[in-house]
Amino acid sequence: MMSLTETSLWDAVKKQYVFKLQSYANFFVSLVIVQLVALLFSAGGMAGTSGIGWNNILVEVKLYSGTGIFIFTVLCTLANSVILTLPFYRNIDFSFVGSRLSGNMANIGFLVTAGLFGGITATLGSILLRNIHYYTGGGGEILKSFFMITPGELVTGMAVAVLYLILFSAAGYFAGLVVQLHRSLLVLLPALIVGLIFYEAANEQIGIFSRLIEFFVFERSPFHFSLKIILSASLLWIGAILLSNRKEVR
Amino acid sequence: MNVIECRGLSKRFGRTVALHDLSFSIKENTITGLVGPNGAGKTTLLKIAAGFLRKTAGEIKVFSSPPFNNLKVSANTFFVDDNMALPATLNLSETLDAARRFYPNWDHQLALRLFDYFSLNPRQLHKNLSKGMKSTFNMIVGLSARCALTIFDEPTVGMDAAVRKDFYRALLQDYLQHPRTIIFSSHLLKEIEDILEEVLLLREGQKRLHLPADQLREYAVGLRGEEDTVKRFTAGKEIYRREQFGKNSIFAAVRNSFTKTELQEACAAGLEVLPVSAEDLCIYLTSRSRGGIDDVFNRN
Repeated sequence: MMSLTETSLWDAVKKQYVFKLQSYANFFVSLVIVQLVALLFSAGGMAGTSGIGWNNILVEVKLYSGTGIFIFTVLCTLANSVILTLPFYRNIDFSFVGSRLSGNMANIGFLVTAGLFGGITATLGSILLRNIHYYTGGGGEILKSFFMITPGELVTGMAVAVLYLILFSAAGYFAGLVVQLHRSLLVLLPALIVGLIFYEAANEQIGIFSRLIEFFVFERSPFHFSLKIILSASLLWIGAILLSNRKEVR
Repeated sequence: MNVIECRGLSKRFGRTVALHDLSFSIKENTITGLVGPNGAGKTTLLKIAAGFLRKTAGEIKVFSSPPFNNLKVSANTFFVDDNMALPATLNLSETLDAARRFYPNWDHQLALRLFDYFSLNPRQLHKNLSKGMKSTFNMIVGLSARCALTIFDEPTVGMDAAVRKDFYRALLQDYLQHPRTIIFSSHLLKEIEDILEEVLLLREGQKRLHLPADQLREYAVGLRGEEDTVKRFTAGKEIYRREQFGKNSIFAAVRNSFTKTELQEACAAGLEVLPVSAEDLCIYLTSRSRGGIDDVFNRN
């Protein structure tokens, strides 16, 4: 007789998490490629390039920033988190041992790992950008405000990047599951988000997005900032779990 | 002990009724064939048992628990079908290693030997396999997992006749060495009836029959001969199929409740007494009309 095996939830989550790390290693590869592309764009000088002419002297100011790398990382993370909610990827959870809860928890673990990886590499990318300019000279003088950063600042920068990526991946994961509630939401939800952003930007209105930016970006206390991100991400995760817990699969 | 118990199980998809008031139980350590025409509800039933789909009404218990979203059921059930989703990034040997980590009873030696026997390439990606190779690979994973309940839903899709035969042998061998509960849904009853112990026949979401396989072979008998004589012998019997042969000759398949003497009398009256194979019986029992396809052509 075949004996019944006992599996705890935690056990199943661990196994699925390891399985995901192994199977979706390409997510990390694509992230690095996207970051390298962003680095390439940023190396040319992206934001706020301006020239001032005065008494036959032309001063050209080029701003180099690691923000581009981070934005690309965010987009890639969002895409990856939505991909994980697609039916094919969800069905993989049910090829072997797993419940909806364990699958979701393993996905969350995977996305947190991807956030850690993305946040650290994006921050290191901006250091790499500084190095490129330092050694190539960038064709001119480097104005070194914000150029040198202390290890403490580096770690803080990484932590903030990681936390943001975790928040974005939680939002993407939740949105991916919301969209699957009804086919029309696939069009409606992105349209609503993009429309709201444009509406607020065009009318200088205080709306959801300006409030969200205020809520997260303008938070000065590192502790409160971390708490806000972790609580918001947890709410999104719980929402995602509730949305998918009664769902039929395969 | 029963591994699966169903009472009044129903499943609707919108307005379509897939299963209706289905009651049956499947004993531990048996091989059950789940048969029935297309759309009879076989896959729906199996997916409910595996915990993928939710029941609409009634009761189903697998290992004494409701299967939907149940980790215990999932850990002890392996569901093999032709669209098992597997990561596109892993090759076959990596997939085997991944599957191995999920199942404590996993027999890796068996997996590797079968892998070798069916000459699968360990470096190939699952998505690049042909239909038959994919089915073969899924079957290997399903057997090696050694789950207390192993469900094969149309596992032979795309397999050639030789591979199918090998698969049935492998299944039987492994079952004899490591008894467990196996449910096998298939259209090819003739091919699998030798390895089955029980047959559960569905028709339009309802149970038509649930019998030990050997009883199924004697369940019905066919009488062929002159119309009036056939009618005389089959009067009052449950008639499953009636086919016209020539002008005055018919074939009738009826419930085999004849005594030996009755059958001898039928022979003496010039009737041919024919066995009805399990496969034919299942076709007769699930067809909508008693005349079968002939009814389409005989409109009078």
